[in-house]
Amino acid sequence: MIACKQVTKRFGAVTALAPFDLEVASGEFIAIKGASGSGKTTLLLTLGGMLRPSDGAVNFDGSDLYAQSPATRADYRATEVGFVFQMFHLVPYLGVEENVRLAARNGAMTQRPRELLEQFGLGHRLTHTPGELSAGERQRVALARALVNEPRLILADEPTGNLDPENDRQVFGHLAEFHRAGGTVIVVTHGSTADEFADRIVNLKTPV
Amino acid sequence: MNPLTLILKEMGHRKVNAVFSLLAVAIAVGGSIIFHTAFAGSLQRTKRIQRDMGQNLRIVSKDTDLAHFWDEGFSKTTFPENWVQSFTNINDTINYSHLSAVLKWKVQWRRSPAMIYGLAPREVAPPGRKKPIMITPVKKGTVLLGNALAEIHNVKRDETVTVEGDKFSVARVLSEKGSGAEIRIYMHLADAQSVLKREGLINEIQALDCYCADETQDTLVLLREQLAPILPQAQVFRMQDMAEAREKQRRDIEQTFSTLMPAVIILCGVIVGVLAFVNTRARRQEIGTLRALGKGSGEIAALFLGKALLLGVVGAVGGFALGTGLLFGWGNEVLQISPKLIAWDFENLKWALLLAPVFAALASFIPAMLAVTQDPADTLRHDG
Repeated sequence: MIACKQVTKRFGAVTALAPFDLEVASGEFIAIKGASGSGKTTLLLTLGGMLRPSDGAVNFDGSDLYAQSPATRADYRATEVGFVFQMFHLVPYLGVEENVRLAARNGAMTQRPRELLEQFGLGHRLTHTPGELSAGERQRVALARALVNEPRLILADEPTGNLDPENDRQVFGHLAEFHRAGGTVIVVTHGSTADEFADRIVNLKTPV
Repeated sequence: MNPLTLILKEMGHRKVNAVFSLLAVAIAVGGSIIFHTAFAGSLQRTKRIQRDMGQNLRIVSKDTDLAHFWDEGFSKTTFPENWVQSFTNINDTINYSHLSAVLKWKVQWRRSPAMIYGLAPREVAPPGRKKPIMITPVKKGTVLLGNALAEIHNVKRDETVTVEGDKFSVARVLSEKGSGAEIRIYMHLADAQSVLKREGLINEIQALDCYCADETQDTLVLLREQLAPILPQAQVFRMQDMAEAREKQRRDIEQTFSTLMPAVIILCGVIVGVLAFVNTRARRQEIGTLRALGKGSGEIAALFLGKALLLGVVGAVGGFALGTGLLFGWGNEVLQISPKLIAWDFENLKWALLLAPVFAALASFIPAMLAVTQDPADTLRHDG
């Protein structure tokens, strides 16, 4: 489904991601681990079509992601990928439902944002702003947002890095559910919860 | 989600930025309205002051004895009254306006030297130079007496006086002028022609030179060039000190306003731009998130430029209300603008609604482009 070959990222003289190979089949759950500065987030953004690698290529369904136009890559992110970030990155002035609807392709029409939020136990929080939610609730909103367009791939960057153990398990539970339904998950994590759910654990080496 | 809803919610969230941006646009619009009206008022006052100074051009016959003319203040060479009509039969725009036929002659009145000053009741306007009348017409059978002359001979208003054998009623004694007007006897041109036995004749055409905006142009040379084909038998003199003072005053006013107004607008534009930049910086993560959600450059630009356009529209209405309201409150008292010039002029609102959104969009353009071109990975990579 998605593969990267000898992907490297440098920022000036600093190498953020050492040459790296990865091949992920459709329906896999991959946990990427590595020390701080090993380039986990850089790798995830590169796979998401948001950060052009300095060397190497990223292929999605056989086509080179960075050979395509920015508009096509934006379309790829909107339809094929769902992002989940450690800091949630919810829009602070929108309510819970609006945040999810913002990502929905036909946002005004679909009932899916509400269904997802109810499924995630947030039915009573629809009009609340992110500032009024707990960290766990925020991450569940972010998960709902990532899933709203029924993507094939979830890219999660330390999704439970700011959560307590209970919420940690809850979030991974939702990711596992998506995986069981046939979705592909690539999660960058420090923690050990992912080990329980992942099909494969990949270690990133810190660039020298 | 509807971009307008997003824009409104964002403005509601970052109220201080939105309020200051709106204020800057409103001040630019309101300031423009105030400056525009103040300029019109100032120009009107200047024109009135200059009009009260009188005409500054003297057209006399080419045969005039100039030594006598400058010594005695009148030309002994007369010419037909209808020469003044030559100025109406031209096609080109000329720099003469407020043309009036004058017959003036020095006489002895009650053993005092006096100047009979016959004024045509109407001014002649060349094509395109029709303006409110400058001269003070004198009714037939009446005279206006210079202050010194009236004082010397103890003449009061409404008395009957005899001038060169004909009787006239004194319509008014002029206030002290400190000039040759002190010994003038103003009367209707026909009356002057009658008492001086010079029917149908005049010896001077007085006029005002129109304000020539081109500072490099020698106005007197231009006036003489324009007169030659119209009245080849005549020559023109310009009261240079008066004319130059008039020109300088007009230029000073124009320069003041043409400098101040753009300065205020540019300052407000910079403020809107800086606030838009601050807003863009504050929304870096949001932009990154929108990118991650697959929003394209067009959608990001629409959010920022749409906000600028909205600020422009609301600022235009607010600025129109602010500017006009301030004019109503203090325009007359502080800026001495004639109340006639202060009104809810919806033409101003129309222009404000057209220009203010463009102004706000231009001021926000660079920050909007920064938002569009911002690398989303840069903010998302440094997460946490």
